[in-house]
Amino acid sequence: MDFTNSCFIIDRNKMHMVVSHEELLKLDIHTYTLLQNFKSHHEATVELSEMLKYSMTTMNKKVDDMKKSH
Amino acid sequence: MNSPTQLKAGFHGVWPDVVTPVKEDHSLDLRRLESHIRTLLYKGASGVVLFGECGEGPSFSYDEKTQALAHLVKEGIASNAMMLACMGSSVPEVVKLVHLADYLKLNAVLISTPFYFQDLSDDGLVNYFDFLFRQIAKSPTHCYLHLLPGKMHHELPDGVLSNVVEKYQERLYGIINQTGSSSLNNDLLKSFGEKVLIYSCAESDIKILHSSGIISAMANVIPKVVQLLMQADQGVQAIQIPGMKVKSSEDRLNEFQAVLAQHASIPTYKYLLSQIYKNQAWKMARPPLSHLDSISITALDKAFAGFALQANLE
Repeated sequence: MDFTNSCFIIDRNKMHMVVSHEELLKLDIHTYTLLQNFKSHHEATVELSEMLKYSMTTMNKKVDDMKKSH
Repeated sequence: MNSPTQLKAGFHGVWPDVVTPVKEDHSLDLRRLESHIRTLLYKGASGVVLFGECGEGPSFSYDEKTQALAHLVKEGIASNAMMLACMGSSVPEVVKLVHLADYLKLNAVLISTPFYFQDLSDDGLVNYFDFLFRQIAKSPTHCYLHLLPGKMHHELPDGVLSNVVEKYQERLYGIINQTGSSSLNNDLLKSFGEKVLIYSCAESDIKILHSSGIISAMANVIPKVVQLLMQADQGVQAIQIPGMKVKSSEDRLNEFQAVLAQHASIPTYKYLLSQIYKNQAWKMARPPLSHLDSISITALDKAFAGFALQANLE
């Protein structure tokens, strides 16, 4: 399968980011964690925004739980 | 050991038994399914099996399977990199799935025994396969007999299995053992090894069968470890992974099996994917399955932290 025009979500320096295949190949494999592959930049961006949404929801829930316990 | 010169050419490499992601409303999550498959193929999987045991096949309708496959083909997943598990409770339903695979030119179909709520006689099972194979006689898609655990499907008695293989040897490319019984492999090899290819879905059976490929549930999470096991069995120099805590793929597999033990398998795979892909949406399961309880999650988190997954390399 040809991945040339696809995009990836990676975890690098504790940040999630979208990179193209070309950009990925330039990175040292030990400096990032490959999360997922997507057909297009748009698809990857949609997923990235969902990931952020879910992590914010989780964080808010943790804060609420902490408030309740005090 | 199979002798490929006398047998049909079966599938090669690692084919993850892909888990099926669902949304909060329990409908199919096509975008996430496509991305998961792309990621597995990028990591070296030869193809994927859709709606199999790990993919909750019985929980999805014919229409949903059609929708998913059409979406994947449309979005550029190669048809010959997909197999469809045709699980069903009636012959017409299974025939429709085989015809769907024909239409989409999929790599292969996996045919299993029916779900049923009563004990079935040997004659009844033989008649089931006769009825089925008559209707798919002209199907060009490669066909594998899929043996599943007794808790899911009726186990095929030896006599019925012999009958089916004998009658449909020309049509069958192989038998796939997903019963969870490793001892069955030797019996299958002894009885049918010269007629059809024998595959197992247990990663630890690679050494026993020396088969050209494997359908693996664990490959959803650690595709490269399973590939390394296959390569090691085929005499290919195993790739040394820098920084890997345990370098032997077999040890790594055993470690991962220890993580999985004690938990319901499909919700566990979904939970682990939610950790790997950093998205809690992966935890959703379609009823009658439910996502893992908090006690299991705490235990899994602890075990998985010890496993120290290296997502790029495994």
